[in-house]
Amino acid sequence: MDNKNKYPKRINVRWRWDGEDDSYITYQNPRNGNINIMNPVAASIFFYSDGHNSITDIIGKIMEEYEIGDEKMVADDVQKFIEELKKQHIVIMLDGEE
Amino acid sequence: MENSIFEYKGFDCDIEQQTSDSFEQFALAQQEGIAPKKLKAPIFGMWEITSKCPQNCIYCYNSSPMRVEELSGRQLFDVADQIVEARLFSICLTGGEPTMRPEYDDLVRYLCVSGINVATAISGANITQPRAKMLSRYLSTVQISLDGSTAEIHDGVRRREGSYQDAINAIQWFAAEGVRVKVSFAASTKNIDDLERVYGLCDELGVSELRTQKLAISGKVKNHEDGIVPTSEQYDRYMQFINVHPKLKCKLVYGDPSVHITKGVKMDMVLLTRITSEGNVGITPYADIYFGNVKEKRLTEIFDSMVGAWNKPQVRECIIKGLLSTEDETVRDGLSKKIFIS
Repeated sequence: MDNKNKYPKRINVRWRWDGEDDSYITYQNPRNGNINIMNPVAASIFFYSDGHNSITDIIGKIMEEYEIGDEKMVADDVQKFIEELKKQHIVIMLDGEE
Repeated sequence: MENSIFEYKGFDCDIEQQTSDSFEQFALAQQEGIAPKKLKAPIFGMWEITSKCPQNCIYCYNSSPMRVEELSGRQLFDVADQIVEARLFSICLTGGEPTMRPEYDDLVRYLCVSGINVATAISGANITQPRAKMLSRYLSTVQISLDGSTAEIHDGVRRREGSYQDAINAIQWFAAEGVRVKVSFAASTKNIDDLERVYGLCDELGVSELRTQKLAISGKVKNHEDGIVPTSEQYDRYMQFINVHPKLKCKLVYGDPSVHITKGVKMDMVLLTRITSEGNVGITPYADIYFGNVKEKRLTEIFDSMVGAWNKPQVRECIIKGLLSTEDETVRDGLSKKIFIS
């Protein structure tokens, strides 16, 4: 899976920061209307998927935010999660530079 | 309703079902250890924008019609702004008869264009074909009450001549516009044995879903159960039909109205809020348990005090003492006065 130079952009789903310290996200899944929850790491990835950060940028931000040194592990998780969001039609993938 | 731009599936109007579904999602998330302990605000809102009503239904859960000091027009839109600010996902405008408020159409539009999923529960009164056409552009779902397959039964339950024809017209007009039309059937002694015929009629009229539930012992039913609440034999026949009903295009759904209470207590989460026509904000449509009034406090502040509401001592006490019970899928409000918890 080599999509690190793509720019994920979340579509305009209904969502909000939630939980005790605003670190979770609740959102309405556009495929079935259900309300789903993202944990803090997933929430950060979703939030950074604004069409202006590449997947490489997002990997870097997650490593910094959560102080994780294992780049490969973070890269795998970020890419898998963004692919899942794409499958669920929650993000679209944009090409190239802004 | 599917949004043609990116197949966005809107909510059903049926707040009870949505709440039940969301509790399931949240329970799964809790099991996986990814759910927060508390939500910042409820997910769904039932907003009784008026207590005025041309009907006088024998079973009304909130005793409409009533004369109360309702929110002014300005206050209505202030609250709408606060609903948007609190990022509720869905709001159902109800009453009384919500179309009695002159601000109703503007409020539907205002909330919808502000990104809130807007549904409504109406009787069909005050709806004309052009009005149905206009409202259909904004409403995700319209829920219309149909309490009988004939004018005699329906108008008898709702105690207004012409109510049946209003409901039928509204169902047809909204269905013709392609908006999802749901029908609610409140089972009472007067109409419970008519469910099968109502189901057939709904199918003919293009209704997407007929929803029914056991009558809540609240509002007008409280202390006047005889002659309104179905007998156990009637409920047996009713459940039997629900269990074996023929599958038509219209879906027949039996709901348990107590889910928001039982799961709210179990999971310690408030997914549903109720705003009354006076501005009181609570956690259940069926009992007067409130955490503030929007005339005095901002909605977000009230929602802060509603975190963990189902397990607050005053609420637990109501449940333990049986003043709010959910036995046999029947919500029973035994409170003698309104409770305000700050």
